[in-house]
Order: sequence, then structure tokens, then C-alpha cells
Amino acid sequence: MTGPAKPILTIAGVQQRFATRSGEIVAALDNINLEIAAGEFVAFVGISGCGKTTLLKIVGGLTMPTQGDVIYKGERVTGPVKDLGIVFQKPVLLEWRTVLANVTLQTSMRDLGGAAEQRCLAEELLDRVGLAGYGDRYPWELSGGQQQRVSLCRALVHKPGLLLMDEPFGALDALTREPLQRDLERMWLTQKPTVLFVTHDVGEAVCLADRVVVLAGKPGSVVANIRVGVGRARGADLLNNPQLQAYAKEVRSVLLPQEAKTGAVLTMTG
Amino acid sequence: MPASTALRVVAFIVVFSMVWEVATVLLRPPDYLLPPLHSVLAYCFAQWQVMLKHAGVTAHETLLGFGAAIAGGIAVAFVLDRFPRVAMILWPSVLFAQITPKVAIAPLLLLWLGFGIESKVLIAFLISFFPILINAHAGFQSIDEETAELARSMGVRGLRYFVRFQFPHALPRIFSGARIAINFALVGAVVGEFVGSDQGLGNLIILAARLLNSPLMFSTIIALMGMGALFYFSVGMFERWMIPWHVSYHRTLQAGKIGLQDA
Repeated sequence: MTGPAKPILTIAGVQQRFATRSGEIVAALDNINLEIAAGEFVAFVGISGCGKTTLLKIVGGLTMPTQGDVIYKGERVTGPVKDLGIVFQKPVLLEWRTVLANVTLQTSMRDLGGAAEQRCLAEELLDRVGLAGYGDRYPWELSGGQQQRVSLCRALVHKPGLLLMDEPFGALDALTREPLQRDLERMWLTQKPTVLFVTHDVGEAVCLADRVVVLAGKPGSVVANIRVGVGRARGADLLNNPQLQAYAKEVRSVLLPQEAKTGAVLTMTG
Repeated sequence: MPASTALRVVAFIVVFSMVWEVATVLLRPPDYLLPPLHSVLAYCFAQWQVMLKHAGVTAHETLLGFGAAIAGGIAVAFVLDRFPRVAMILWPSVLFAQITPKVAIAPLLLLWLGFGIESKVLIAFLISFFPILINAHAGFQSIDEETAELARSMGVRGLRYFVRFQFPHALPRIFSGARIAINFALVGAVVGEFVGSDQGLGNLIILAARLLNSPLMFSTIIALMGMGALFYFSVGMFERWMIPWHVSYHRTLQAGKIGLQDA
């Protein structure tokens, strides 16, 4: 495995099993080993049910693995990581807070800076995603794409070292998704947090990530680790970039046999 | 309350009054069964000070009981939500308290607490406590997994999580409970007064029945209806002021702000 020179994040032998309601023990993740460098953007692709989301939660310290360790900044993760930012598939905005207050939620819950300073930071970020002047509105007054932009601002306002994104654009249509991908790349280039990005969209993965990790199987394990050697900023432009398309093909070729295998198993048992 | 709703309420009252007045003039039922509306209103105006004094007593009992139910319901819901082990022990007793018919034990409560307002406040409390508790508890429990994870990712735990996440999330449900509970509380206070009291609107009704004083009877009923409406709409207005962000108001708001939403 091509490990980076000096990893900020090490995932060592992580396994996750859980009990179903009938008492059956199901394995979700099997022996995951990864090293991720500071400021690296890593995408995790795989068909649904391969444990991508579970892995993300384990890395953030929101779930404890059954076995194995996560080492972040030289320390074993035993609880929520301190400088964590998180974006879900749903915007998860608090409906009783205005757009601005949803962004400053992060800084105020962490007691970072005074109210004026927090407000200033939040407004700056909102401005950068094209939501200047929307601060006083409530979440329901915004479209789905705008809400997800607010969610992105909330995850970045405290300048996190580790940003976890769980299919953040999965619920958006293609035309809304692209500008958001561009916004994300731009903001990542400015702040350079370490990003773990879960998606099932191969194109999205190669457009955004420095490295694409393919997870497959039940329980999920790493089947490929593909470095995307394309310069920045890529501008989420898969259509006009043959280099990105080549990487997308490579990732797909690793993914598809796996999909076929799962399909075969399903036909056999069903 | 939107203007059109208010208009329809007024229209209903006008039609209802007219039917009442015309029917009593045409059919001439005995006065002690159904007096004409104008004589009821005349009685009301002549006796308004007495009515107001008794209404004040009933309102006082109702609001004390309701206030205690809000505080108690939210507090118990908090404990049930926060401490699952305590909840396991507490739920049966809560359910037991709920299946006990409060009206049936009203005479007993009067025996224990006397004929003052304490017994009425307690009945009002007991009868309005459950809708608050159930709704608050459902609200605290219904916060979604992602929101809880978001809070944990920010290092928010314990009481802070309750105050900043769970409680605001539960507010719409708590208000649904409160809308039901406020009129329950009024019923509780009146029942308490029926059983034994020397003041309050419930006491006036019992008195009117004994004296066959139907104008007093109907005046009191109208006063109770007015009070019930006042309480109910006050809760509604307070709700709008407290949670203007809630989904149930979007439609009314949007009608007045066309073009707000953009792509």
C-alpha cells in the first residue's frame, strides 16, 4: 500500500461487527488499514452497504470499532475528534436557527471567539458560497442546494483539521451538484483540511480527491487505492477532462467486477 | 389566527345567535329550559361584576394547574428521556396515574385538600399533565440520528445538548400538547368547583341548576366558552411568537411573501 510520508491519520486493522435484532452478528468492516497525509483529500467509493459510513464515523470517533485503532495526530481516537467538521447527506440544519446562526452554531458550541468575530467568519464563508445576504433567513426559505451550502459553511467555519463528508451531494441533482463540488474544492484548497469523502459517484470521487479508496464486499474491505494525479483546481469538470475520465474508468473497472460478484451471490441465494 | 378564520368564527357566532333568538321567539319554550338570547345577554350585562369575579377564580385555578402541568410534564419527560433506567421504573406509575379517571377521584381530592382552590388546581394539573408529558417526551425522543451526531462532533453533551438541541426541537410538539392541555385544565377546574366550592364559574352553574335560574346558567356557560377560547388562542399566539420558524406557518407566510424562494 502506498502510504504517505508522514500520516496525520492512521487506520490500523479496523473491524466493525454489530448484532442484529435477531442476535445475529454481522460484520460491517473487515481489517481496514490506511494512512492519510495531512491536507489530503481521500474519497471512499463502494456500493451501498459496504460500510463506508461506518468507517467515517469510526474515524471521527463517533463510533468505536470492535477491533483495531484509529490514530489521529499521534493520539488514539477514543471519542469525538476535537477539530472535526462533518457534512451529512441531509443538510441537518437546525430549523429554529437562522442561516447565520446555523453556521455560528459550530463556533459558539466550541466557544471559539466572541459573537462578533464568529458572525464575521460565518458571513465571510456564506459570501464565498454565494449566500451573502441570506444570513437572516430560516433554513426552510432555502433550496436544497443552498441548505447544503450552509451545512458546508458550518463544517468549515472553525477551520477543522479533519473534515468528514458522508455523500454530501448525493441527494442533489447533477446541475446543483457541480457548482457545489467546485465550491468545496476551492474551500478545501484555501483551508487544506484532511478530507474523508464518502460517495457512490465515481466521477465525483475522481474530480475531487487526491486518492480514491475503493471499498467492496460484505464485510467491506479496501480493494483498491488509486492516486488521482491531476492538477488543481480541477473545477469538477469531468466532461472536458480526458485525464479525469481515464481515472474514472480505472476506478469503475475495480468497482464493477465487485458489483457483478455481489449480483451473482444475490441470484444464487434468491 | 388569519383574518379569514376570524371572519368565519364571527360569522358562526352571528348565525348561531340568530337561530337561538328566532327559535325561542317562534317556538316559545319555557324560560327555565331555554331562555331567549336577549334575556341571557341582559342578565350578563346586569351581573357582569359578579360573573367577572367568579370567572377570575376559575381562570386562576386553571392557569395555576396548567402552568404546573407544563413545568411538571416537561420535567418528567426530561427525566424519562435522559435516564432510561429511571424511565423503566417510572413509566408504569405514570400510566397508572393516567388511567385513573381524574373526575372520579375529584371528590377524594376535595376531601384531602379541602374546598379551597388547592383541590381545583390539583385536578386541573392532573388532567392536563399527560398531554404535555407525552408530547414533550415524543419531541425529545424524535431528534434524528444525524443531529445527535452533529452535536457530538461539536463536543456538545449533557444539559447543553438538551437546551440547545433537544428542547427547541421538541417545542412544536410541546405546544401541540399545550393546546390540548389548556382546555383540559379548564374542565378540571370546573369539575373541582362542581364537587365543592363557594366560588368560581363551576359553583355558579351548580347554583343556577338548584335555583332553576336559566339566564344565570347560560351566562355562565357563555363565560366559560369565552374563557376557553381566550386561553386556546392565547396559547396559539404565544406559540407563533415562540416558534415562528415552524413548518406549520410556512404556508401562511409564503402566501404573503411570493418570490422569496429562488433557485
